[in-house]
Amino acid sequence: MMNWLKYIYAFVVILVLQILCSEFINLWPMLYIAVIPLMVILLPPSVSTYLVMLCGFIIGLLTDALSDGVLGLNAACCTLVGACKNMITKPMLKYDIHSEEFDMESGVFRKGKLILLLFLCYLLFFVPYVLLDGAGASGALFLVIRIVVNIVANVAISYLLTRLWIRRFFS
Amino acid sequence: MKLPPLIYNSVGKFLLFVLLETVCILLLVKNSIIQQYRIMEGVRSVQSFFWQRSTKIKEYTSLSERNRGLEEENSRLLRQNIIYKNLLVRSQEESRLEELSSQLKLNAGDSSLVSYSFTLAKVVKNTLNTEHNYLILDKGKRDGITEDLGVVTPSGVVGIVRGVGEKFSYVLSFLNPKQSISAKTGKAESPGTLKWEGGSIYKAYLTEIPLNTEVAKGDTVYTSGNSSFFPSDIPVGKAVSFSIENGAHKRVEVELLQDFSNLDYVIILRNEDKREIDSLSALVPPSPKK
Repeated sequence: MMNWLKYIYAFVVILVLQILCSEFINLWPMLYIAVIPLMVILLPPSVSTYLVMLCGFIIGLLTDALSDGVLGLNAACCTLVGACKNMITKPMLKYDIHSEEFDMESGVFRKGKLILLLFLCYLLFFVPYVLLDGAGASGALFLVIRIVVNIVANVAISYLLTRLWIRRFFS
Repeated sequence: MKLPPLIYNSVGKFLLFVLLETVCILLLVKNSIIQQYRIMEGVRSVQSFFWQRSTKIKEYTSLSERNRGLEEENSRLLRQNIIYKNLLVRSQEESRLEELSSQLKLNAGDSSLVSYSFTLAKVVKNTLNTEHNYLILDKGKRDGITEDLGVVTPSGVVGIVRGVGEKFSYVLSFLNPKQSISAKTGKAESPGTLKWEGGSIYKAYLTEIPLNTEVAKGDTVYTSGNSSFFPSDIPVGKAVSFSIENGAHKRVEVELLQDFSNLDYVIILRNEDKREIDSLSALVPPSPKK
């Protein structure tokens, strides 16, 4: 399968997964399972920041529209992740001897770097998400706990998803 | 000028990011009441911050106009201040004149001052250490002062106006050997000549007193009123001692009541009858030369 078709397929799967998570999986009121940032992370660094931002915006907006969320919340956070994604991944690639292309399936990113990348992207996603969602109604401690819990949980879920499905899918 | 591609690219990314985020925030505000309330609260605080700053900038840019206004206000207030100061000075002078003239009337008696009008003057300069002392007063032609007017205080004679400028006048002090006035002792009717002969500013000599005139130590010496400069009965000094002069007259040493070292305000006397007296005096034929 051509690479871009694979991306579209992955995009649809992640979107469906996200809607299912939003609608049916409600483990804890504090916890929000967000797999859509993974779609933005998945895009190679050769894709320009413009396109990454637009992808983030569209996928976020679709999630908001199709799930029972506040319209614009996921879109705002995904756009931010898209804007910063290349800034985060490019310095990491400098330490790799292979190509300048981000190539997830070839295993350029090792375990540690992948976790770091996921952590930074989810940090960018959840800080504005929790602040906008709470709208200043909660205390600072609650907000910090919520951010930490969500980052930890989502990094773990996304790591597993990458290892178990995305790598195999692209290889 | 062409921008470097890096800057061009960064600005473009930033603008797109701002655009997308603005769309998201607008959607959020439109679709959620809580977010709308909180975000609008933030927007209002940002607005008020900029309003405050813009007001300060406007104030700063209008400073020159405000300064001009303040300068005009300041000059108007200064003019008012000068007017009020003048009024205050005039009122103080009037009350001072009232005070001095009533003292003078008390000392000299009302009847002797009937034909005199008073003008208060401040002593601007007063010499005491020379043989020919003089005073400068702050009244001149514009205040109606002319030459040959007597200058007094309730404590005695000060001098005679000898020169008049527009705003000031020159007074030949009594402490001048060229100056003499007609005076008498309290018990006598016949006048003599009171003259300062130099030395102490507290002493003068009354001469040409007839031998038959009784003079005692402590007698008050008054102006006689024989000249048109000064009215009669203004107390001038006290007799301290007397001696016989050339076996023909008495010479009385007089302690002056007026302290010339402490002169601040004086009264300029205008004899309203002086012109008539002078014109009549002019009719008297000169004595034939022998």
